[in-house]
Amino acid sequence: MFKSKKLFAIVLVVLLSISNLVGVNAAEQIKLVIDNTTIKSSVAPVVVKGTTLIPLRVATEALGAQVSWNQANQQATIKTSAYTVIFKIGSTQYTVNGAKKTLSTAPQIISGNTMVPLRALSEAIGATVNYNDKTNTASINYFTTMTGKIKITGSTTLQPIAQAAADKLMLMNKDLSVSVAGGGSGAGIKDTAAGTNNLGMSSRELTADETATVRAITVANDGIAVIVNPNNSVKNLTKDQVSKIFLGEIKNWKEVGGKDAPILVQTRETGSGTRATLEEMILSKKSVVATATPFTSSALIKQAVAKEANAIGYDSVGYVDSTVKVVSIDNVVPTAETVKSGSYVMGRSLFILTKGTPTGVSAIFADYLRSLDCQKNIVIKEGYISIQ
Amino acid sequence: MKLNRVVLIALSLILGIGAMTGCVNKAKLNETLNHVPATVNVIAEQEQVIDQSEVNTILRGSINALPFMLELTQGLPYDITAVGKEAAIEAVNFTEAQLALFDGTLDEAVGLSEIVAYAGVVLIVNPKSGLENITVEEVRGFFTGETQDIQGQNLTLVLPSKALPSRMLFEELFPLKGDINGIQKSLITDAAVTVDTDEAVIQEVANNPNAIGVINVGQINTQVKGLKLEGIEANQSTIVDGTYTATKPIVLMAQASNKEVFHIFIELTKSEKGKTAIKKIGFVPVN
Repeated sequence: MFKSKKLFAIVLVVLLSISNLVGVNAAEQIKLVIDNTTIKSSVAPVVVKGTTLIPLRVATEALGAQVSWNQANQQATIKTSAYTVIFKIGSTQYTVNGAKKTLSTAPQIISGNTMVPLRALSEAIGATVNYNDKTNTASINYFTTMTGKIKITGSTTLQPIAQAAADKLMLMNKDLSVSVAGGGSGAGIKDTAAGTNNLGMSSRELTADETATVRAITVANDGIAVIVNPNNSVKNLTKDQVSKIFLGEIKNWKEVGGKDAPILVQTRETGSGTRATLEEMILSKKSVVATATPFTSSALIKQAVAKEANAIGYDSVGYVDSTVKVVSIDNVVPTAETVKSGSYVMGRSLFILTKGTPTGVSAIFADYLRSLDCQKNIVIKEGYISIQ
Repeated sequence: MKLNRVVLIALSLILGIGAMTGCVNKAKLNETLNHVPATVNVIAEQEQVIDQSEVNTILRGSINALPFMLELTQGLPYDITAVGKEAAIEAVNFTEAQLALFDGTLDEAVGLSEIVAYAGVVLIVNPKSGLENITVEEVRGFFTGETQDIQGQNLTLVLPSKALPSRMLFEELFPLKGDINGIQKSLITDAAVTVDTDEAVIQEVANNPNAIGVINVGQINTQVKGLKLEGIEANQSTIVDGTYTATKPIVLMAQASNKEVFHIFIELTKSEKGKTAIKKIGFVPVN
């Protein structure tokens, strides 16, 4: 069964490459440049009957688009935050947000890679495209075309990612101004629904009511770490112990193997997405004990735990550093692997919020957060977990 | 082969005795082995009184290796955390941990490495069931709910709950996980019956002639019938030689400078206590 499939695939690839050779100008080596960066890929763009075809995967990673492939229909669906483009292999028909359009050259599979028309894809999502005949260079400009103002509010967990992205994009676009403010997920969701920001940030999933007006786009993954003072000898707690500590049922460190000292519970404020996630995933939807001290940001709760010898708190792994100690839960700590595999008990996604379908520069900002550049150079570097 | 083993035992004895004189945790480890001379034990106890804050052996591992780490080192001074395979290997490479234990292959390890056990899963049915063999494709189709029967039989699916290692391993090996925005989500149909322990899976299947379940490969007993996978029965030799595919070796890794703690751990896995621990969690020993 497997062998015959493999054979079939080889025959298919050979057939496709022979048929393509007729139209492909093999002598030309085409360079692909996206936002002034030369894209290195094992698959080079090709010109077929005067149309430049580029590898779909490479382009979408760089542009922050999501791709899904329907094997039965041979259809590739490319989604940016504002546009949905559907190409069909071998067909000159394609759609942009449902509107039918026609190509001069159909997308095709070359050596196992889906190749799509450069100009049609770029223009469909609102990117500018140029082709330089002399240097054989195809250039797409997307994250370098941003102008105007963007106001972003909400989750302090997501704030460092949004701020770093804003700083980078403002360097790349001199007429762009982005302001990023905290306030917590609750405020971010409210502002987005009310239209008082351009983009919101949330570190918790939206409720059914909220999804009626607000759309959430996943831009990073995260683990909520239980943190204690570095001098605390407790290294591990069971999920049940964590629950009882934050509910105020376990009150002394000696009950969980530590020294005889009262546990000082630190928490986030009521609107916090991090608090909502802890209550949802660990506390069976009950509320953190009322005597706990609330802090209004990820940075403040970390500082409090760093300062107080008997404190316990919780924070995004993006904020955790050597000033606090992470306690494992049932011997598991939050890392990229334990969160991605779903093994760590407090893994979650982080979302950028839009009121309906975003447009213009806000849509491009949201796409940037999902791009390979942002995931590699901001999300992972800031200590969060990538979506790729 | 036999000679190798003799050399290894001799080596670990020498290393073990060497370790006693310097370090309580190593001494304490060796108490669990069967061949520790009595005099050395006395030294170990004396030292223990002097220094109770002796540094633990730091062991980092993958999620699938966690039950093994916990059971094997019970009562011993090991510092254990599951951080994931990549992070565990990194921890050893950057000397943040002495030992890494992960499910995978020897090729993935740098420095000293050895397979210490096998983790795996087996599909089980009631002994009265006519079902003898199952294919990976049948498992995938049936457990995702895409197909409604296996070989014409409509069976009740019984699975360990999501938090149990056997469930995670099952989803990983077949694979029955989908990636949504970088987070892996189970593709198993909601129609499956979920129970809290591996033993409960065995009980359900033992009591229901129309049930099919999943357990750790080392847990199979006479109450249920283990299905062949792609025509291969799960047994000691097919697991070790890899012809039974629903299994993964558990690899221990250390830097050469930590060969003492490395060999102490290897000996621990081969001791009677070690073998009992391995069987208890449903893993399979190397021999």
